[in-house]
Amino acid sequence: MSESLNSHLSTESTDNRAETRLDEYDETIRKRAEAMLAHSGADVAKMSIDEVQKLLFEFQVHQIELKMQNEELNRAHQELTESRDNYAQLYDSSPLGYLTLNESGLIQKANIAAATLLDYSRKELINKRFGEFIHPSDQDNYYLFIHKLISKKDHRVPNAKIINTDDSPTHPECQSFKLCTDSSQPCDKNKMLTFIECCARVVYNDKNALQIYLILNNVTERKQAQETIASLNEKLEAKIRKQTNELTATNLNLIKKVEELRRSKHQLVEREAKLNSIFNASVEGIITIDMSDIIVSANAAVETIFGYKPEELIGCNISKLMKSSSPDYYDPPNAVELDGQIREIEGIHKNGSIVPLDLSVAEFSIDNEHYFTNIVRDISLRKYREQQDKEHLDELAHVTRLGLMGEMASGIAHEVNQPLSAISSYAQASLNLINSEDESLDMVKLCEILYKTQQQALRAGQIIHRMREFVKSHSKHRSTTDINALIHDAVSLCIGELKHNDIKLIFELEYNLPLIDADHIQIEQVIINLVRNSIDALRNLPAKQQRQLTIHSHLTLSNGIQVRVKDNGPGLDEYQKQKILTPFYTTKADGMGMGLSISRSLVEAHEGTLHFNSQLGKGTTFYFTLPIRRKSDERK
Amino acid sequence: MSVNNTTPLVYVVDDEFAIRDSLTLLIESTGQKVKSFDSAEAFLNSYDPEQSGCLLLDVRMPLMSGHDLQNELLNRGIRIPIIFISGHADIPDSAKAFRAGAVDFLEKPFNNDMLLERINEAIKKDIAFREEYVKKRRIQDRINHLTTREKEVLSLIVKSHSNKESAKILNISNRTVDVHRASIMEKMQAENVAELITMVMYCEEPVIGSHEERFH
Repeated sequence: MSESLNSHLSTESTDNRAETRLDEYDETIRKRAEAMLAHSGADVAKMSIDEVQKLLFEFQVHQIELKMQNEELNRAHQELTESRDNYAQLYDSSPLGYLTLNESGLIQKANIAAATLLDYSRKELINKRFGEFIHPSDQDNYYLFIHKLISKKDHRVPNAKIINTDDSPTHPECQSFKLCTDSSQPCDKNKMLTFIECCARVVYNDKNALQIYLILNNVTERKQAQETIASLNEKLEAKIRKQTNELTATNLNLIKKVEELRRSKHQLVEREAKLNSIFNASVEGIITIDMSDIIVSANAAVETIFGYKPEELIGCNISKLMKSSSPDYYDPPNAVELDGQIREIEGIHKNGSIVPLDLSVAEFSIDNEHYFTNIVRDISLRKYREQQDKEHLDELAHVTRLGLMGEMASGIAHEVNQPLSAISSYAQASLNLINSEDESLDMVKLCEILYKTQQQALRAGQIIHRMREFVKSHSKHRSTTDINALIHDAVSLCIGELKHNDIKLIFELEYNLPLIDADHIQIEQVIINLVRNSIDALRNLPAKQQRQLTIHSHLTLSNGIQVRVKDNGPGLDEYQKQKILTPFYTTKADGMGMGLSISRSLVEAHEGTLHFNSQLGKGTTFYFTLPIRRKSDERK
Repeated sequence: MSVNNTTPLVYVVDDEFAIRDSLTLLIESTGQKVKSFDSAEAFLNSYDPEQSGCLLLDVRMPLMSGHDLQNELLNRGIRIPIIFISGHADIPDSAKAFRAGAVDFLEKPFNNDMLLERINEAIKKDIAFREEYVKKRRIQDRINHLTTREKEVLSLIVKSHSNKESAKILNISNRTVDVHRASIMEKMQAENVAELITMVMYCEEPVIGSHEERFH
């Protein structure tokens, strides 16, 4: 019974063998029973009928019992067969491969699934070494596994997995198998391998021989799935890597941008610092106001100029600093037109004093808000210097007038001598008339002579007066004058010299000229300088040549009055042209060389210009232009 | 030109009316005759060489100056005494004037007495000059009537050469020199050689402010 049980894993051949053995068993039992009977010593023949009958009865009962036993046996056999068939069915139709190995690793039994897996027929597999199917790289692991199983000799199912890799499923003889003890990692990059998982149990059969039961599970698909997953993972990783790279690149860009921003921020900060330092270190006051004239910011210099601290000013109206009654009243709409121009205005100091200022305005806007930056410079010092310069010029003019008068003295003396001489003669003539022995005194004639004498005295007085006026250090400055009157006055002091040098004087004066606002002494000085300069030039002409000096006045197109002093002298060469207006250049032995340069300064102090043109051999013309008195000046 | 007895005339040339007018009145008040002109040109146009007198001349005048007029008069051989009157008494002007024969150079305003005195002196000078001139002219006329050889002999006599020396210089005989000499004495109306030499010397003496000197 145990044999049949033990052989329940056998195939159909085993079944037939069992039938045969059962028949053999029946015969053996008959023979043994007969033998036993013979040995018991009881001879039926010697037995009484009763005894025989008793024996027979027992035999019959026994026979029935045996029959019943036999029936039971048959039933059990049938049940066993059924059970065995079930197991065989299960064994062969299992999707898992079953292998039975002996102690030396040879395959003893294999089910269909195992044969399919290894791609050998079941018969061929018998006595093949399972290790041959294992991929060389896994062989060590496999033998180690088997060795462990055997040495432990227990019936425990080891927690191990065998992965069997098939190199090429269509060529099963290829012995590429793989084995891993506890992981399913791919052992080869070759995708054609078959991977198996393996469960093992060690059993000792009834002959006390060691048998290894191996359950093989094809995990290739799982493996492949895993590989697919792995490759997908890889792809994913690649994708992630790529994206990471992209992100890194983007990040780098961002970093660069951040760096740039940081740099430009730094530059901005630097610039702001620079501007701030300029703002604060500027000697010029910088005041920013908004559209409604409210001060938004002011720098430190403002305090020096106006006496207010910058923080005192913020929020105040600009009119606090700039005179509103001034004609140059600060007016933003005007300021825009005047953008960039510099105007002179009057500022108000905290202590109430007036500060002369240069103002320039620049407009800017932030978020549609307009602002005006007012840059103001305290020009008190400049004003003071200008005043000083003017005073110096006046002084210089005066000193040079004195010098001029010295140079002109003989000419003027001649001019005074004329009337004096006439007076003397008239007086003597009168005396002679009165003292004449002729009784009838010609009173009419005498009166006439005396009148003439008086006229000459007045004439002399006039010349002296003009001369005194001319050398006076006058305090009265500008007054309204007619240029032609100035020309006549100036020339009257030169008549002597003109005469002395045989110079013909020609006037070409335009009459009814507008008036000019000028310091008439200084303008006379200019005219005299020019006339005397021409006289000097004409002196160089040969005596036979007619010397001519023309004084001309006219109104220019640009509303100025031009006076031209023209001579027909020898003219100026290039060197003289360059030098003639510079101070201390003179061709005269006794001259200071100040005449023309001071004339130019004086004309320029009158906001006029002085120029000349000259042609060698033809003569020289000096001309100056003065602005006519403007209507606006009348208010002053 | 001859010495005549007409009253001498004082000419006044000045561009300045007041000067002309006052001088005229002044000079007239002393009984002198005056004629005034406002320019050198006007004077030249109406000047009568026969009229004795003097000229009061202003130095500075437009167009033609006093100096120009003085030179022009010399050029024309007019020897009228000139008293310059000037506002400027500068040395170059006066030197120039004196070199050209001016009798005086007065600075304005002038002392009237002095002026009148100078006018009188000048007029006297003019009269004297005119007389001298006539004399010289007479001698010159006589010299002009000599032959060329006689003039040569005369010049040698004046240089105190003897007859012999003269004959030698001129390469002629003593006798010929004697003949010329007698002819010269006669033509020159000289009593003796001394008078002859005086006459020639007098004639050659330069008149006041002569041409020759002017050009030096």
